[in-house]
Amino acid sequence: MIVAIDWLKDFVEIKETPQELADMLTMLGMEAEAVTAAETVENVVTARVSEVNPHPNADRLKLCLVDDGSATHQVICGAPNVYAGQISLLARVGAKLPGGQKIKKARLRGSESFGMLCSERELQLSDSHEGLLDLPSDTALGLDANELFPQPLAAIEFEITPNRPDCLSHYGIAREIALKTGRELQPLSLRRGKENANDVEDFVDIIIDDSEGCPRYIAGIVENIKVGPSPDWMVQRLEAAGQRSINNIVDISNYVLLELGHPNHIFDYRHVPTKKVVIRRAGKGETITTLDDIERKLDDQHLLITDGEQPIAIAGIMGGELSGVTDDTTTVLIESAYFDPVRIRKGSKSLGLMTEASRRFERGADPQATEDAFWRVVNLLEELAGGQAVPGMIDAYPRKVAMPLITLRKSEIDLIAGCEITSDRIATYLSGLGIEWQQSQSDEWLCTPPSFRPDLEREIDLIEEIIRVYGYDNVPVIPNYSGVYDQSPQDTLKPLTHIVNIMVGLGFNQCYSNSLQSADVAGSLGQIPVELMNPLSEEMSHMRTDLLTGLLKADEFNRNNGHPNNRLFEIGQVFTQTQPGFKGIVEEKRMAGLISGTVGTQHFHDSEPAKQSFFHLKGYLEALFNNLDISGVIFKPNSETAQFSHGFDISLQEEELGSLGIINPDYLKKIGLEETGALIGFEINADRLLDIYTQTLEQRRYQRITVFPAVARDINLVLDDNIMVEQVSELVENISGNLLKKIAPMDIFRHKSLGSGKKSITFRVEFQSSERTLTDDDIAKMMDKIIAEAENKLGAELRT
Amino acid sequence: MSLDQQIEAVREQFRTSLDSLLNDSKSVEDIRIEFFGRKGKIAGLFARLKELPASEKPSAGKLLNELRNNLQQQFDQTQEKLESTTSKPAEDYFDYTLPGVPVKRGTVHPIQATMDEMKDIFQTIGFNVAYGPEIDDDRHNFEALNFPPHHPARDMQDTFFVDKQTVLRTHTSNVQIHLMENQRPPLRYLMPGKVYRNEAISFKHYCLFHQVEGLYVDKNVSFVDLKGTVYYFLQKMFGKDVKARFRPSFFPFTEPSAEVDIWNEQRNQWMEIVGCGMVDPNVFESVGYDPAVWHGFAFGFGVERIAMLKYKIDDIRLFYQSDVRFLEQFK
Repeated sequence: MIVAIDWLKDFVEIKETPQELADMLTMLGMEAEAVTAAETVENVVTARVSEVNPHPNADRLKLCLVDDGSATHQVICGAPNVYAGQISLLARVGAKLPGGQKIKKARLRGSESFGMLCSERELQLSDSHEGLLDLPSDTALGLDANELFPQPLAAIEFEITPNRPDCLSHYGIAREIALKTGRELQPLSLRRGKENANDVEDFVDIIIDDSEGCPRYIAGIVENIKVGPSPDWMVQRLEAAGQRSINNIVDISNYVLLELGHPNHIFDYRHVPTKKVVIRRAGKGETITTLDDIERKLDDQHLLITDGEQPIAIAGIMGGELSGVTDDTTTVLIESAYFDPVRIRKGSKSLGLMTEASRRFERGADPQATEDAFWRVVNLLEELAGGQAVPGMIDAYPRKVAMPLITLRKSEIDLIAGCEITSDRIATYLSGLGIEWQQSQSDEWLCTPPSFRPDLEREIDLIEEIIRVYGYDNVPVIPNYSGVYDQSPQDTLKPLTHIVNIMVGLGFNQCYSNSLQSADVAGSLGQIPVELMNPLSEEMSHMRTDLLTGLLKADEFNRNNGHPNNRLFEIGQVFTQTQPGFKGIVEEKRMAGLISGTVGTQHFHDSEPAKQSFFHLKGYLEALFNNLDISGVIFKPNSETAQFSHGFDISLQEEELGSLGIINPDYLKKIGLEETGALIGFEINADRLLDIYTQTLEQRRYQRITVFPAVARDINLVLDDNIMVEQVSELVENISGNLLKKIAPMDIFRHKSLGSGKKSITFRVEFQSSERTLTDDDIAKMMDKIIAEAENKLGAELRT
Repeated sequence: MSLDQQIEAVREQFRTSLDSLLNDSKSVEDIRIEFFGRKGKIAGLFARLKELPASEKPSAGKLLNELRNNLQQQFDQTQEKLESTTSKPAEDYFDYTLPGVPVKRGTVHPIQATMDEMKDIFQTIGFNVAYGPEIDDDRHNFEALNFPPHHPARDMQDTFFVDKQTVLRTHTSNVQIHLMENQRPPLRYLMPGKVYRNEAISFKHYCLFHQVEGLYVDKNVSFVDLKGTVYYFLQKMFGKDVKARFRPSFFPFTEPSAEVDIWNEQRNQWMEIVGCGMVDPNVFESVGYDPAVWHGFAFGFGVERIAMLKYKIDDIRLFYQSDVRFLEQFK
């Protein structure tokens, strides 16, 4: 809503600068978005250049004599197009130009200049600085520039919250100013015509078929109007409020809308040949071509204005093309109605057509303002279009709109506000808000809100108004916390901070990717993604089903920006549609990581940094689990994955937590990314990881430090290539039980001397007992057993 | 030149090179590259093998292997000899100004860091933390929050719909409803999370962002407490001198409602930072709390907005691009 300050002054005294006014209203809940200051021009008049003489000391300057109708001034001018007899604008000494420039007597190259001849740019009429403004030769002299070229009025653009339809007008904003400042609000004085006149009934009959959709419909007729331009003051105000001038009739309609906030409509009476107006529900599939020349297809939620046969307007939204005012219109039918907010909203939404009228009706217009708006239109048609009103006004009001009766208790105001607002103030505010009230007992008021405030329905609505007018800034700031609340569970994601910190410690950068993806990407893993009904674009039409795709994209982005060596991770929600409908949506928290390029960049101590590999990622994951004190995580091959060329499940005690692997280049292609060197990624269920970690924390117990020495032995086994290190470790664990402290492979050796398909692995095994010092004999026995079983079960051979 | 001749020539050159190594005009590394490198002279000779007829290859290969082993041996010996003679820097002069062995550390995303910081601040005044789903039904995102089905306020929420009754949550306020459905008052909770808006993407707007919602319900919670809490947070987050204003606004689920701006000196303008208000009685009714007994306030901070103000980030899209040049600034 753009408000012209000059217009407000019709209703309330304004002493503030535009900025002060904007601030005041912002603190009342009308957020000022932009302030346009008025540009003023003073002491600039039309004048004739009577003589042009060369300047004695400057070739480019001219010494002119300029006649403004009352005096002749010597003015120095540098414009190339100045000529004797030219009529232009003269800024006299003391003049003020837009932008604040002031004109003083000047001395230029030894000659005096009393004023300045103006170009278009100097008056901010255009950017043209070509030369002097050239006015028609019959222009009168001494005319004020403001009359010829009205400067824009000061205006403020407000964002009005949807609960305040009453503020979508100049009068409504003026009312708020009066309320806040205590100044008097001056309503329009309207000529309402004779009370019992009913001539108009010969012209038109109003039939409301749908009184739920149209509780009130006022109509009247004005004859003998002349369509033409609007007066300058009206054009200027409309323009300041962001409305282009069309002609006097259309302008009057718009002017009243912006002034009083109540929409009205003016029909050409010729297009109501049936002499009646029927307001009814539209039929399914019925059509009407609206003013903007678009054929609109309607359904039964739309409310139609018809002449009994043909539709002439979509009620509260837009008029029909055929019934509009044209240059040869002479008699008009004026509509000022109140339509049901929900019906207009549904209608406007289904047509995708929001207008100044529908915006007000759907938020709740004022059913009582219909009459004022009607007379204001009639009065202006008489004043500005030469019209004559047919006496009388038809007021069809089948369904009275009643305002609620609300009890307002001071005790409740005190409780909600948390500070004392006196009863006197409360009463003053209530009156200022237009609320009718009676004090039912001390500190209790029985209130009826005005009809222009459909948002005031409950006590809390009134309390909000009292605190709003009192001023939010006047409410004191007192942080006051007491009491311990027994709330559970505590922050379930608290341990996530630790996980994030571990990943960061391992060199990973945390990412937040877009959760919205294309159908192809979101469906690339074979799950059914959640699809949006109204996506922003095809690229963002589905919810992600995994996190790795986002990291792969991020890695590509960084590679293309000169960062090929990345360690990225993300924690976030993924979604799958397991069955149709809301209940079938499964939301899960995941954590994913991706590594690419080399482990570090080349530097003084490492001229050839290692390439990131499967074992690097496995190492990072082992470090993560180790830091979380989670043991027993195993990795085993998983053939069923599109994402990985070598994929592995990550599991703990038979439960699958996620997977890791080397990204399959075909998969990159599938999701529209470039192929590149090795990328290794993992993705795990973060909800489960958090649960497991939380349990681990609860079960954590101190282990007594063993004082007996540990003994280490190396053992070198020749094994078939298909025997995995883990099989040997398990075998050793089984034999040694709790005497085993640690077993780790130290070296793998392949040589033809071992035989083909064979490898030799050196293991370091450490033993320790918490009860005694292990003897050589203990160790020897255990080693013998290990060797024997390795030979038996794994076909190993001891290499000496 | 035959291969034999070439072998002899290389042998001779190598000898000369070793001499120059001893008189310091060539470095060990120079020689390693010249003879043993991937494009070195020995490799050059091996490359010639493929020009020979198959019958000569084995013997020539043998010759070349001998040459290589022989030269390598000489080279190793010379190097050993050199090392025992070259001067080592005295302990006192080891160059500690050389860079240390670099250790890469990752970074916490600024959204995560900001949310964690906000949690910490509110936890000092007794707010517990709860979370809720990003895809939710109409009841939790709208209806129970006092958005009637055709209320114009739904225009303010540019919502992504999955179906008519299912949305990507437009605010973390859905968690308020989940909490109150499952717990009896009093409550004091913070609810961080990701939310979605169907808005064209620009430097100012993204289709998703993060909020930190707060809810405090007890018998005597007032607007004064709300202001006190918001100011407490703003001072902890932006410093004691933060300049803020509370202005009336409208949200369906609070009444009175306010938006809070803080003054941005750099841009010379007020910046909206939080929407808040007293919980609307209709919300309490929808979760079965008696509004005659319980009062409360709620607020919703935009996390990106706070991070942008704090770190002076001027484009919201940077948060979701995973650009390491951005991420690594938040160490």
